[in-house]
Amino acid sequence: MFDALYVAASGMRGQQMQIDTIAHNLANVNTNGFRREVASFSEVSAAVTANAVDDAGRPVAPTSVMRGAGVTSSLALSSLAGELKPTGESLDIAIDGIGFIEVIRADGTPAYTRAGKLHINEDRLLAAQDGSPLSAHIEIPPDVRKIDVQPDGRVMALLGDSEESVELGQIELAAFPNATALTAAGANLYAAPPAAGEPQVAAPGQLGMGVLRQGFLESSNVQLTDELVTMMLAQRAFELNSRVVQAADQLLSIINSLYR
Amino acid sequence: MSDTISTLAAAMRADADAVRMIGQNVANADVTAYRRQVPVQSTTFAELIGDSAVSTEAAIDRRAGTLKTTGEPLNLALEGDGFFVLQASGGRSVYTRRGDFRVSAEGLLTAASGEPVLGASGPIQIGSAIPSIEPDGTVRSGADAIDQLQIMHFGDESKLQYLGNGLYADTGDAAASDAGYAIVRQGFLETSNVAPVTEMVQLMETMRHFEAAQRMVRGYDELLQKAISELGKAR
Repeated sequence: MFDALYVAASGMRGQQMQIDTIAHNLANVNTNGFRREVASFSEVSAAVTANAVDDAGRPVAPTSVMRGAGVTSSLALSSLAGELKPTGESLDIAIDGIGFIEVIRADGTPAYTRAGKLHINEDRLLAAQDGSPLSAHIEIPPDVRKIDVQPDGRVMALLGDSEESVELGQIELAAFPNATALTAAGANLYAAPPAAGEPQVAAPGQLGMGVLRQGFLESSNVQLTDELVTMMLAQRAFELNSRVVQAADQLLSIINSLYR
Repeated sequence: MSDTISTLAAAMRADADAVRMIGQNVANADVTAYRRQVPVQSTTFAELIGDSAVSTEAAIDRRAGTLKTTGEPLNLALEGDGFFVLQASGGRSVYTRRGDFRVSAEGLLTAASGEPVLGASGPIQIGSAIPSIEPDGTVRSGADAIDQLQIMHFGDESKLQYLGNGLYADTGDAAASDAGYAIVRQGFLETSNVAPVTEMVQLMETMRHFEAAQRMVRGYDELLQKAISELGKAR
């Protein structure tokens, strides 16, 4: 009935999503391998259609300017890597480059992670934080004394009393054409929807995948100051939109009081 | 008889349109490279003698927004004039200032709305590497130059046809050329050119104008009522 109301309401909805996103990012400021989400907005407008008429019934010429119909918002992951911080743990692996570690979830589907806090799960497989084994399927024998992860992904181990290190397997990395389309799947894992494209799988160091760094973890890429500044702006923008809603409401009220 | 009232009604409709445009600007204040709509109210002679005395049209404020840093490798902003060139459906070129690009599932550099971005030799295949983009628009993957972004300039931007969502089409008379000043900044986005203070002041003005028109309608209505009830009285 009165589009100014809807237009401004869509703006309020967008800012609300912006604030939800910021809250999510801030909550994960200490999550290993977390990629912040970025809300992006797009204009919605419609062309004046060819057969449109004005209020007096006369035809309206299609104009060069489209009739505004508000705004829509969508979410994407940031593609920036967080800082690598040293931990000294032998099963902490950071990826110095663009790749993701592929794991197989309990339901058999693959998921991807940047949080290289690995451990050995109950089947003695090298696994991500939630226990999902790496798709490289690396079994760690019970008599392992020391594990070495090479920059190229090979996992070497000293077993029993032997001084000879044995190769247990090689961790591979997956890279996506559009890593910003990955969706959070909980437990620091990301699922790959079709929009992310076919993953390219290669050993670390090949095809620009980046190398592994043992004893490091990637920290969250959330920047507190950036988030807080965006939050302040979003709050004010929300207020601004709500003023237009009020004004539109006032217009309607004035129209209703025309006839007494 | 009701000429005055329908003129005032047209003025009120025009104000309601203006409020919609202000709402559109405010709602889109966070849209990359959004250009604000300016409500322009005009009277034409034909409308003067007709019953609709004023109408609101949207003009586009073409001043560029400011650049803000995001650090994202696929966020590009143009410093100076000029537009990125996109390939719309049917192979025709459309133009945009909106540089929040992404890579499609097929590995092509695309606009946020999905159209492939055109380089000197057509759509740009990025793959899964993170490209570096130089100020002159050269796209590099590692050390290899893949392509150079096409940047178009228009002698008369007001002749561009607006398609919505930050896209423009050239209908042939906007004096397109590929010579002009533009520097591509990677890791930056152009903000919208919406200024809250301008919108609020405009909103205030429009609301008061609307109220004034409503008072006039009422006043004229009372006048008519008097005319009918008083003048018609037989003494």
